[in-house]
Amino acid sequence: MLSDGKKELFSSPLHWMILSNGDADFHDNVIFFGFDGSQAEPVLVAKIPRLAENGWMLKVEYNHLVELWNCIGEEATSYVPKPYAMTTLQERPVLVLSFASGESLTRLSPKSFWRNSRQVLALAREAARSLRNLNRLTERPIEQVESRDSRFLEKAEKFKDLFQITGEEERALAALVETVAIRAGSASHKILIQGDFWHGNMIRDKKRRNLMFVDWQFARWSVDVSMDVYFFLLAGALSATENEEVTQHAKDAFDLLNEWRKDIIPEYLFAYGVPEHYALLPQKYGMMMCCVEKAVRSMLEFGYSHPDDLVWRYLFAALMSWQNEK
Amino acid sequence: MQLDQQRIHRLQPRVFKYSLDWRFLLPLSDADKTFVFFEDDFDFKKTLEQVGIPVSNQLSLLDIERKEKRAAASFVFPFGLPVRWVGKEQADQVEFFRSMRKLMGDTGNLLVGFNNLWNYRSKTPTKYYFSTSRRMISQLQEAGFKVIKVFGVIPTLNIPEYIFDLNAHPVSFALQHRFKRKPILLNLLQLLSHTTGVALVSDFLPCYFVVASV
Repeated sequence: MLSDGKKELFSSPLHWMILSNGDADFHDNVIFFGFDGSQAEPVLVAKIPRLAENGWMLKVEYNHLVELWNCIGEEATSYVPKPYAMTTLQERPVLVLSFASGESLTRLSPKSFWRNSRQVLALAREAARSLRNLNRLTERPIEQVESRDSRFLEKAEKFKDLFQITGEEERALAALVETVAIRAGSASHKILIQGDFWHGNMIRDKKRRNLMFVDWQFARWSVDVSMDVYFFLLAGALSATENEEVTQHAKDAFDLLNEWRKDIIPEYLFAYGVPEHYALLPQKYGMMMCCVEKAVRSMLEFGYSHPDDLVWRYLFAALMSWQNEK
Repeated sequence: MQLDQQRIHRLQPRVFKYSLDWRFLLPLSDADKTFVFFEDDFDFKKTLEQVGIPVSNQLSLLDIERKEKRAAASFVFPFGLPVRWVGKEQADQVEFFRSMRKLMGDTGNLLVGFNNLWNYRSKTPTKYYFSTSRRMISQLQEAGFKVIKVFGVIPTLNIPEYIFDLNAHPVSFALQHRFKRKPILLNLLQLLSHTTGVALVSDFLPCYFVVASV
């Protein structure tokens, strides 16, 4: 019987709702919401991979959530679901979590939300503050034996291998690899990054109204927070500019990011603040780093291409036109 | 760009046109004991292959009768009973289910997906019969199935985003989740479920899966 401390999670057989995340991506998980007879809201959430061989993702998520809860204690309640168990049912790996009650931000409207700069700014500030608060809680000195390597070189190599990049793009990629390594070298602390920090993985808590962060399968300890900080902006710009034609989609998202550079991005970065002990890349490099990681992630993790990979590749190219910052 | 696309398309793509999440409603059995029946569809065949369900299994019922591995097997009609194979009369369909039951023996499971008769807007081609949950339950009972469980499905059988027990809380939760950006429709559905009960709302879902065993 599953329990949360001394309290049993449910006493009668559960009724279920399966949520498929809206598409048929075979490398994704499906989410089961379990209801007991007495409560209108689920008493637990179970995540199961469509393909059993992808159980490792859930194991990563479980391990990092346990680590996070051990690291920051009950404060974690304000940020993430509680991991109850990593188990196996009918030979399928299953991650059992607490239910984060509230409204998912996945379906924020491209027009009425993402084209409304006042609303975007409010969410951006809130996301930045919440992320910084969580990072403060997990910040730890790097042990002498620990590596600062983020495996970014491997991702850059895969990017070159996967796409037909120009000489200019290759030089920009080399400069990016060097910048990432230099910044990492000067960090003294590490933080637990979420690895997929976008609005679709945020839930507005019903009671406290704060943002909860879900889906920690790409979480990792890192000396560089850029992936989380900049991915939020890039994912927002891409959501605002949906287009089936990939080059146009990347161009529209880039144009929107240029608009956001006037006020939203500076305000967002100001709300996050300047980390003293770990790295945060400048805008251009930080966003390009995200593009590289997102463009190769499905290939590196699963050995499959994803329809969005090309959008990230073209967004990388567009971002090269930005001036370098210090 | 063309070079990029050529390069990336050489890699095996993910399949997005169909999900096979009905598998979660069945006991886990070996892939070669899952027999899926559908009208010819290249994309769907590719989807089955991707999860290791051999398409060579998709033979006629006669072929399956000859196979020994049908014990504890799952027989799946994910989009409904094919019009080409089964007569449209109630008696024809009951007889078809009866023959399936005999084929399955005591240990197998039958899963049938179907669009609701009320679901006029369904884009599913009419290669498959529409039905209602009441009619389906009645037919399966008449055919001798003892354990019958119906699940609500929203929005389509191809990619069912929500699959849920027809119980008050899951139904209400699924509707809220699905229609939270359509407050008028959501309020209407909630009003309906409060005044008439979840059972009536459940009758108007776009599609269903039913799982039956002996």
